Amino acid sequence: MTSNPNEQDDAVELLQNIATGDENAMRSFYQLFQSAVYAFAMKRLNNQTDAVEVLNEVMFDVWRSADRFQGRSKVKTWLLGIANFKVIDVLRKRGRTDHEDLDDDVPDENEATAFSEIAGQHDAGLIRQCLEKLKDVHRQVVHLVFFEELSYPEIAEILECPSGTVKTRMMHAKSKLKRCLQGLGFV
Amino acid sequence: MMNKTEHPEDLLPWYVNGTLSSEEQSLVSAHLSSCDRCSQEVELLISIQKVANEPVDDAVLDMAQRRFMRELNSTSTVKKDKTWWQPVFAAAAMLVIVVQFVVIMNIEQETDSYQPAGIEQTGIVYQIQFHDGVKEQDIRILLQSANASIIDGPGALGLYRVRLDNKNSKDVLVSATHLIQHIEQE
Repeated sequence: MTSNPNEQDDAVELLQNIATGDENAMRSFYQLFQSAVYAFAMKRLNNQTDAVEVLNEVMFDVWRSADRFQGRSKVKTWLLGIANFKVIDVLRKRGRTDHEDLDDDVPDENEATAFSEIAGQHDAGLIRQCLEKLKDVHRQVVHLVFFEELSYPEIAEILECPSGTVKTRMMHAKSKLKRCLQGLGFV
Repeated sequence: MMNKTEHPEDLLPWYVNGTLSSEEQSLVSAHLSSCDRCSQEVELLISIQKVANEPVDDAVLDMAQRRFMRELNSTSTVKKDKTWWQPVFAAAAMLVIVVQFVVIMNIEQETDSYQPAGIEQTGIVYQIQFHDGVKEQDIRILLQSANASIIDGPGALGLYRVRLDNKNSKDVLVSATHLIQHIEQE
């Protein structure tokens, strides 16, 4: 998703209007960020109903507390940070969370070599298939990198974890994609 | 400075999405000019980027927005209705904040062994089980007020592992029985 260069300015202005109870501003704000919040929640929850629930809860938080935005981070980063809490709430209700799994393990250096060997033989359908098989925590990082086009410090801020953890999760995602592609007959 | 045999693999995804700092960007560019392995990896990451960058379902979003605006309309009268009780409510809220501030100040006066976070990994590790339905945001506020840092969690059973700097921090957590179901030192 290519971000709109004026997105931040527009969003800050909308937040100021939302804080005064302007419903039209809320509608515009919703439209501006609905895809980002929904897609973020969907990648982790893999359930449309839950993702919509998170989206609307986040937007209600914005409606109730737009004046609390301090301007220390980008509006989207702030928003996805709120969404992250809501997503964890849903996962806790489901009784499962795996977002910290394997964060301490560093992928094998040899795997990276094998991974590079399959580059150039890639196929969109198979990559899509393998992305779907990733753990939601890894799919989420891939999403934030390639769909939201966020930097690793921004992702760390949203997920409230160190930058090193973000990088490790991404390395895991790559490693698992590689294994999946190998399993489908590459290499 | 990276040496020739070091591969900046951990930076490549952000090289592809164009968000590295200019220094990191030049470092990776220089490396890629002489490393086939990393160049191939960049190619694959670009392919992943194309696949990951698929649009979301507009119909679902449209339905979600209509529901949101409907619910907003039913609650917005409350937000717009500036009535006489609002200043009273604001004064009461202010009083609560002042009381909280006084309590926090007292706690800080009693503790003289806090250390700046992130400098040294000292302290005692506890496992905490929160009550069902407790909001993640409330958990973070409580842990912040106790100067506790999350090491791990929530795990499969909903357990958090946190590091506390001193006994007073534990007291803050132990007193939060409305949020915490069980706390235990590892």
